[in-house]
Amino acid sequence: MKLKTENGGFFVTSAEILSIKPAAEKIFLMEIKHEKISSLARPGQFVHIYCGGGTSIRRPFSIFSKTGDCIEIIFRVVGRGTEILSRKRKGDSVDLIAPLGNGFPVVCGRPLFVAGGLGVAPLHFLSLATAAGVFIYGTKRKNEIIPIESLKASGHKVVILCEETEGKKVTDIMEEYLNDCDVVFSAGPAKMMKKIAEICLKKKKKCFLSMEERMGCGIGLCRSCVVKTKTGYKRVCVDGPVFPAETVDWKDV
Amino acid sequence: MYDTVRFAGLEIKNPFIAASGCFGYGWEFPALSEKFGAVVAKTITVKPREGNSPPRIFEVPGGVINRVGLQNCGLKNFAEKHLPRLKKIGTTVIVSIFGENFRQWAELIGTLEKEVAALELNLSCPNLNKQILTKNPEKCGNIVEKLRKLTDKPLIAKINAVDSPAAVSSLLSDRGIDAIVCSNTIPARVELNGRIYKGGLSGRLIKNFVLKAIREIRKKSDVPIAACGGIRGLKDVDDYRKAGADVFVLGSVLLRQPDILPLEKNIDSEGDIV
Ligand SMILES: Cc1cc2nc3c(=O)[nH]c(=O)nc-3n(C[C@H](O)[C@H](O)[C@H](O)COP(=O)(O)OP(=O)(O)OC[C@H]3O[C@@H](n4cnc5c(N)ncnc54)[C@H](O)[C@@H]3O)c2cc1C
Ligand SMILES: Cc1cc2nc3c(=O)[nH]c(=O)nc-3n(C[C@H](O)[C@H](O)[C@H](O)COP(=O)(O)O)c2cc1C
Repeated sequence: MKLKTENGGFFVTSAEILSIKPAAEKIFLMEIKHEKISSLARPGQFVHIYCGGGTSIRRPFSIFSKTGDCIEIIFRVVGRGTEILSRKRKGDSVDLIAPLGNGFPVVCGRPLFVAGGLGVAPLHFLSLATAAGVFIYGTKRKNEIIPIESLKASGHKVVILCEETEGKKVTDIMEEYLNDCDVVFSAGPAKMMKKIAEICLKKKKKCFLSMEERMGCGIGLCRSCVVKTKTGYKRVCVDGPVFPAETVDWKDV
Repeated sequence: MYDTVRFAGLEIKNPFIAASGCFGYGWEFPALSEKFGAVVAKTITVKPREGNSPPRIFEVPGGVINRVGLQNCGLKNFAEKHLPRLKKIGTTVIVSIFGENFRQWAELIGTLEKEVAALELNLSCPNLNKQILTKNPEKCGNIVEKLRKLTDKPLIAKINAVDSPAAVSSLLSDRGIDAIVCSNTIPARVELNGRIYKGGLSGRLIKNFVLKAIREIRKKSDVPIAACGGIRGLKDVDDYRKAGADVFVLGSVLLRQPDILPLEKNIDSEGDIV
């Protein structure tokens, strides 16, 4: 069924898996067919999947891209839910609520994307829809890098960093690119985003972050997935997942 | 497709109720709320509460542990912004409340009683840095007795399945409570990244505790009972009906399947809808 919200609404439904394939070590790319979800989906939004196998609550995944009547997600196997999901096959169905969350705002100017690990997912989708800029993508290990060279076709300069082999993190190099950019978009581990928020605040750059927190319903009802902001706890699922960096209260991170 | 039922002096259009805390303030998705016989809004306190710092929700095999900590917008905001919208939905409106002392309970009842069909007293929230009220039945009974005098609207007591539910139910019924909801979440602990968190357990893991509690309550008293604990399919409803429950409250299953009504399907042993 479709449910209405102020920003376009979402579907509670099941959809067909068109393909699932490995994208890197323990990381899978899944293509899900649902024309209406795809047409509503905006960068920064996520899908909330019931993985089955006796799990009790859904699992959130950012939308990695959309093409025609499909959306794609990319996920790392970390526990029971993602393990079950990784065993799904082409033609199976997946139970999902989507698209959810506020998504990234549309900002004019030259963007700098800073992705850490699976944070690449929402930024990949966003970068397909913006002006040309710089895309920095860092992972811990080499076998975790998922191929995003295709972004060069959108005119972005793509910088891929691997901490294990290069000994550097995205936060070590982002300042080199900051002056040439008008706005920063970031997603990844909380500690990384905290650092990025500090850098942007200091340099007075606009910055938007996609935040993660353990989530319940995904539709704003249970108040589980909160992040602390300067105006109190906000729900990642409906007030976010994207927050302006200056609104987040990082004291507890 | 369901018959109307009488519960706590109310006539509700079907026996399914959305649990407090699992369905927001009850009005957010009218198309979902309408399907319920009644909707219980999130527990409201006199002052706004910001709740606990995250993480607030954990999955364990067969259940969910939450430590939301009664985050809510406070009585004034609720009455002004949320209640008018909730009342527009075609379902029976119940509001859950929690007071830290008699004055607060009285203020909550005074402000809300004319606007709602019934009030649910949350006597069993495990996520407060205080003792759960029902652990002290005599004190609980005294509060209820005093609150009873403040309103003619039905008062429903939310208790849990582990703190002498039968004795507490009989006592509260004698002091004027119109119905019992059993159960709130059950106090539990969970570890994450080397830290231990205290929270409340819900879901199919608690069903057997709640079933047992309801059988015991029913043996001692004919107070109307709303069963709440791990309900996900027809078999659960059937089991609770046989144990003596009158209506059925859907809790954490709504986090997974907010559109679960009409409850037509069953759930396999792993918890998947079949
Ligand atoms: C808005 C949002 C977008 C996300 N996008 C992606 C993505 O694009 N790709 C991807 O691989 N992962 C993403 N994640 C993280 C992903 O949701 C978790 O890795 C996943 O839920 C783990 O499930 P599990 O059952 O395998 O792990 P378990 O550890 O067994 O899960 C147990 C519980 O913890 C929760 N949990 C565990 N890790 C996380 C986490 N990092 N963040 C939030 N909840 C967690 C689970 O949802 C579940 O409720 C996103 C999280 C959020 C909040
Ligand atoms: C995230 C969450 C928040 C809850 N908040 C409240 C609350 O504010 N007040 C209340 O009385 N019960 C609250 N509960 C308890 C539920 O109403 C219900 O009693 C409990 O989850 C057991 O039912 P279940 O097994 O069907 O989930 C909450 C439960 C969850 C999972």
